[in-house]
Amino acid sequence: MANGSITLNSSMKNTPGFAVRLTSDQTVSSDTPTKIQLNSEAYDTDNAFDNSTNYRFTVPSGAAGKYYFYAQMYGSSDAGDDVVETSVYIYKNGTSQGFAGTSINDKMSYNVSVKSLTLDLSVGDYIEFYGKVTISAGTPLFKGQSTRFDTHALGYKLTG
Amino acid sequence: MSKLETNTIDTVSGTTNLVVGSTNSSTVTFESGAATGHMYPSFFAYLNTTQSISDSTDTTLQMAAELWDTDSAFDTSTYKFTVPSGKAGKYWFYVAVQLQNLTDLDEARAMIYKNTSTRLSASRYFQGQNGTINYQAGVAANLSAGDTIEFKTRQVSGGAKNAEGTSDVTYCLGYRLGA
Repeated sequence: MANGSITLNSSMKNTPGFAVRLTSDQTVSSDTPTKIQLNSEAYDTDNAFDNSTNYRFTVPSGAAGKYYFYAQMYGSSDAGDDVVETSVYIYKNGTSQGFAGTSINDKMSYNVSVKSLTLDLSVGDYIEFYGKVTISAGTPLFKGQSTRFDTHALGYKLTG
Repeated sequence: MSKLETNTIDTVSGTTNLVVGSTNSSTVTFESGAATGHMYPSFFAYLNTTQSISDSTDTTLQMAAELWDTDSAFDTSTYKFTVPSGKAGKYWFYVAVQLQNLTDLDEARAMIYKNTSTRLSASRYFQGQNGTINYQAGVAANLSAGDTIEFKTRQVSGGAKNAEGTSDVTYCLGYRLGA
């Protein structure tokens, strides 16, 4: 099989899988966990990520199992060096499963938070990605970018 | 249930796609560890000696040592991963960097580049206090054979800083998720 391929059963593929990003800045409220509106897909193998309304991944029929998720949120203030803290969260069925946050002392204009998790999911479970930007002045933002993955998330099913 | 003992299963001459299971199969079970090659290419490379990172300069991390590299696709002299022939598809990459002796509000970035100049992902951190910082970035990308991936860092502190050279703090990894 040096030059061929093997078609694997679905239990041996890392699918469903998706990679999504925020393509323009999202205005949020300070110190308030807010769903990241991940509106653009690099790929979405099973059309299981809703990138237009709910911005969530839902486990499709027949695809229960263990999943890996990663979220990265680029938080900013439009007023300059006024960011106090940034955090990113991974939610399952509306409840946070964990977060990562960084305090940066109210003197910088942006910061990135990164979080990854492995979750055991059932059909119909849904995953959402939230961020929080706490500022002392101006308007907090999730920074979006159309050509890079600045604020983005991904997930895929683990085999076995 | 019958048992088939053989050493090689191959397609008929002139065809290349081998399908395991058909209309009756909902699950194909492999013995633990037997599915060799799945999620390959896969690599883990790390910084094995202290690397000085100049101020305000995007710098390639010189990951010169490997824990594994299934397809010899990560070059430990150019510090790049190259998608091998026949292995296009979706990949996951991750980089972590540990930088020493930062002071309050110094900046540190981890970055992942495709084909030298296209920045796929960047994370930017600020040190909240004096000391060491560990920062990370990850990205999933749909790649073609011959595409390269490179891991870089940048720090803004007013002077050179050292990235720590051990496999548990400054490293990169990647693996293929599928077609």
